[in-house]
Amino acid sequence: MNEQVVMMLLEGIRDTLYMTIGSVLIGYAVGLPFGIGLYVTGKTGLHPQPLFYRAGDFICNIIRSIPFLILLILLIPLTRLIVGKSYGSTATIVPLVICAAPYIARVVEAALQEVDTGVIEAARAMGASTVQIIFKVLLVEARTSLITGFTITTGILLGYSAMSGTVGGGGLGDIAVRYGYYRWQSDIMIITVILLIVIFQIIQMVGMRIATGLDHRKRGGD
Amino acid sequence: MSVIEIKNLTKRYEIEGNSVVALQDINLSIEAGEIYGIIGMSGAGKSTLVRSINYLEKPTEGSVLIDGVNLTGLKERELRRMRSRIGMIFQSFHLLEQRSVLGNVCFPLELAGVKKKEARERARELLSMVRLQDKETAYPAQLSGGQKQRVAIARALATNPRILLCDEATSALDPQTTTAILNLLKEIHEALGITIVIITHQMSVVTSICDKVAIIDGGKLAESGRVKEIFAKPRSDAAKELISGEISSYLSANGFRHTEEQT
Ligand SMILES: Nc1ncnc2c1ncn2[C@@H]1O[C@H](COP(=O)(O)OP(=O)(O)O)[C@@H](O)[C@H]1O
Ligand SMILES: [Mg+2]
Repeated sequence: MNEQVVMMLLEGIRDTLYMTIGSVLIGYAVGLPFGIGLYVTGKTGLHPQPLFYRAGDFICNIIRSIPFLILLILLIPLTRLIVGKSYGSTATIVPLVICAAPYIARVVEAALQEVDTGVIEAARAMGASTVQIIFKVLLVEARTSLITGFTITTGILLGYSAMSGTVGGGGLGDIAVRYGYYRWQSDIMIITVILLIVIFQIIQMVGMRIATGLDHRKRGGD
Repeated sequence: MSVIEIKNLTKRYEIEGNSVVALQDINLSIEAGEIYGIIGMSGAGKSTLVRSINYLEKPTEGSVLIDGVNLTGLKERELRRMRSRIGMIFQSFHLLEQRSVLGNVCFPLELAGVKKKEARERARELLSMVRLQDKETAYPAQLSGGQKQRVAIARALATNPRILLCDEATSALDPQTTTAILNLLKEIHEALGITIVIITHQMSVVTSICDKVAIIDGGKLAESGRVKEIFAKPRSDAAKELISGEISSYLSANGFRHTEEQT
């Protein structure tokens, strides 16, 4: 394998990580507050607001029901508006974030719903405000589920970023499509697939380790 | 002036167009330093009543006064401050699973803005009071039910409340542990002079620790007064039923049998 190919693969890894991490972080910046909002305003939440909840719920479901590839194409005008162009790694982050944010919101909402309502009641009885309950009770008690959700989301975004390669998104997916599909150089395609698998495994392993490491339920002391 | 005064309290829940009356026209006064029992069958409205005392549940009608202050008139912020001065413990403990024992006891202090170091010192004092000083780094999942309730008691007392509310605090515990927790509550009562409200469905809890008792039946106050007097001369059917149930369970626990079972 020549140096040029190695360089290309390294750049591919860099672009893939850039897209994945970028979209996860921005996705969480939007999705986490959105998910907390859904939880708080939901039927069993701290401040039920049926109208607000239904609006959020609706937006969430609409975006989640559009297949990612179609979203990628639909969002080209928006991507151009934000990034200035519709191809390349940075541009791909736009549809990735829009695809991920509602999904993240759902994952966060579900994680918070797992927190025992009795614990929330106890906090209220101690005089906790809603903000204190969110930051000191909900997000802390749900952290294992939140980190597991974060790990799964990152894995999904890694896959989607590769998928965006088919429309010029850059990264390992792009390389796989260009060499494997257009040029029939299956050796390079196989290497990119292996790289994707390895990255995915590392994300899973690290994420799950952190999640269980931070979990104090049903475990020996430390 | 009573520490807790409940006046004409009615609570209705509206669920899908149906109205459930959980409490109806309850009047109750609890004096400073009393251990007051509230007893009734499951579904009688006991939890609703005790949750009205710290306004976790707002009454549909009537009012609750703490130290003469009507909670109805309080703003949310004032209400939260009032709640921080009323301790509460529960049947299933409700500890923060991701916090250590020490972290749990520090929690209400943290909410109140107490400095970390100060909070820890206070928490350690309380843990030694409930005799769990050697468990401060443990997590709730590693404790027995009785130990969890001790942590919950320490946590409830952290902010130095004048009132402690106990909602079925011993119902999830075995008889020995129940006795131990009740003894601890008695000890705390003697040491701190705190007013304790004990919700239970077990008459034995009332007879072993309470000065006075209120009997709740179907959302209504059936009878209230000194435990000895009510035990000696129950007037309401609800009281008679609870007491006879207590006597028969006492008898069967001690090897006696019901007369009708012998035939
Ligand atoms: N949040 C609620 N919504 C609707 N009904 C409720 C609610 N809480 C309690 N109830 C009803 O009020 C009645 C009294 O309940 P509760 O106070 O929990 O009784 P207890 O603690 O004596 O077992 C029950 O019929 C119960 O179904
Ligand atoms: Mg109850």
